[in-house]
Amino acid sequence: MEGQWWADFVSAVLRAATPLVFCALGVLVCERAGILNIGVEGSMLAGALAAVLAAVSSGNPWMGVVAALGVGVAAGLVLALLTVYLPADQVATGIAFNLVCLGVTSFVYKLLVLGGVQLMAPALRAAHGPGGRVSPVALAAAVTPLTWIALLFVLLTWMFLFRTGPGLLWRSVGESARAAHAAGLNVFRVRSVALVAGSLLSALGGAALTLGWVPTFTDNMTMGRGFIALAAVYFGRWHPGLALLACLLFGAGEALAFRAQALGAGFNPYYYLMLPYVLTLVAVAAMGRAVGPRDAGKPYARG
Amino acid sequence: MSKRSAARRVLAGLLVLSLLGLLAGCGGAAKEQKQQPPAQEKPKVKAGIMFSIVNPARAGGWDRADWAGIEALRNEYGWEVTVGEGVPYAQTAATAAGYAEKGYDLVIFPDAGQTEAFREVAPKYPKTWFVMMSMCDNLPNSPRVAAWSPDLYAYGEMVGLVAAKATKSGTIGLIGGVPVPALVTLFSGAIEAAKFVRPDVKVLTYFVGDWVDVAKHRELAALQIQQGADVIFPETGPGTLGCYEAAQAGGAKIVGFAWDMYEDAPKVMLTSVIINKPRMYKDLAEQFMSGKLEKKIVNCGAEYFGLSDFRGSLPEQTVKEIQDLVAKLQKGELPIPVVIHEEIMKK
Repeated sequence: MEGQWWADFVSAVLRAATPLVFCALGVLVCERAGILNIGVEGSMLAGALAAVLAAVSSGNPWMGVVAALGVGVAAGLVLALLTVYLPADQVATGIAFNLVCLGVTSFVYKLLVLGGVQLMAPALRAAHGPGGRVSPVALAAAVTPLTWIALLFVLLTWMFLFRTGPGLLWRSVGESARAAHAAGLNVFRVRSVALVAGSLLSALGGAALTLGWVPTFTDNMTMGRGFIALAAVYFGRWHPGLALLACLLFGAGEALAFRAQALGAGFNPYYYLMLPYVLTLVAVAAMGRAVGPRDAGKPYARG
Repeated sequence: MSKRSAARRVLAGLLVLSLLGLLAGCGGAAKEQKQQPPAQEKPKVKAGIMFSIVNPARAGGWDRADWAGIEALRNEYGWEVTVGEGVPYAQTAATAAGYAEKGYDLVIFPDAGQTEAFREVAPKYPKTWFVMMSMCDNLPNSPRVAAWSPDLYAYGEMVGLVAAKATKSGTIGLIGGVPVPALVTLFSGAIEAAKFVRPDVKVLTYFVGDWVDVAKHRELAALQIQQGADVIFPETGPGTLGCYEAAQAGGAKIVGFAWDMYEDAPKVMLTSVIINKPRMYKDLAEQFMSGKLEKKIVNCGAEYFGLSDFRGSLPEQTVKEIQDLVAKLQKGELPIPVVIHEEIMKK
């Protein structure tokens, strides 16, 4: 029974962390190129809706993932136009983008679900439940493929940013756009590509939330998870591995909050429900002051 | 410089044009309204209502039941009902005051979370009726206030009867959105009624922490299923969908909250314990239009609650036993003790 409890707990942590990991990577790749991706919440929400609609209409959850990727690219291009080429203030644009996505997704969903019946999409299911053992093989079968894709992306992002030449150039744009430009780099192009990649990952986070967790859509269903991913990047000091750790920590807090109620320690449920946030706060405080890419958030204009 | 300036100008131009288009559209609508001849001799009754969530017609059961009530006011009584959606609790008082300022006859509060606004605004506008359509134990100090207050303990009793009769494992799960006293009352009724039917029943009561996060709702319902619950009653908001999904994946059944929720999850819906909110709204309309509406709290007991069709989810014999128990409950013939389980929400 104890093994069963732990197996359930670990698979719940992975389930909760998966959308956060995608979004955290989406924020991280942008900030490493000097762009604050505050619009992560909006991209995630748009991806979540696109994934559900495409999966319902095609009957195939992977088509939902493809649709989310498409929406992510579109969101990235819009953000790139606004924050890289104009360039508008990145924080204000991100906030406005989130608000627009909130309104548009609710409006579109309301239009499409005229009958009043909730859409249930085909989901990306785990091969089977967690069983009674906590082993890599058992867990591999107990989570959806998107969880493993997320973990793979963490590794790939780390390798790209810290073990390749283009990754070094990418980071140099985030540290000093002017110096990168002087060295012959096209800052606009790098930042645009970063925003497209970041929004694509964020939208994939939305797809992981819907198709990999709860295969339906409701208004504002991301519930601030994009912002939690933003905090995870700060906690993780702009490093993919540490950001993953932060996402797992938050997932663990959430899973523990529910299980603590089940264990019945006799406290008010509010105390348990605070757990994920308290854990995150303590972890961030324990990490101390973090310094991000120097040019993150600074608009770049030639000349 | 020139390209970016041009792009900015194009964007600003588009924005201005779209705003002008919107304004023109509004103007057109106003003109159309002016051209319509006066259809009613008597002015329509105007009521304003606000929901804390968006799209109440498709949200959780509570809001859907209210929506059915609003439809009854519009279609059966010809009332003009203005609906505010997604009004945060902090803005409820301002919205309600806005309705009163504009000369609305009634302002309706469908949610006990709006109680503070109900108390704050009603005394400031003594010529407007303010009506609470949710739990209410005392009225604000104003001449034109009323409440239709569902007896949540009795409602919980009906839930408990159904769940205890339907469970095979002997474990039932109750899921609440936010830990508020009203849910302690409801869950207490469910626990006592379930024990009345089946003394060895185990009842799990957990709270999600919000009304809308479907993912969290799914996790909590899945946890209850892991602990043996095969019948789950979620008293939450739009997040309820997560419970349906968990029930479908885990082979459990759901007792729907407040309105017939069958269409949302036909595979898992056992039945729904309905709150007859349309009847509450019709009572209000009848009394208002006949001039008999007075300052009072109407306690809506078990006679305002009922079950939706089981649609073959249980054997006929079990359904009949449940219906007999419910009929007795409505007549007050079931000696279920009233015990409030404060331990659900320990301080």
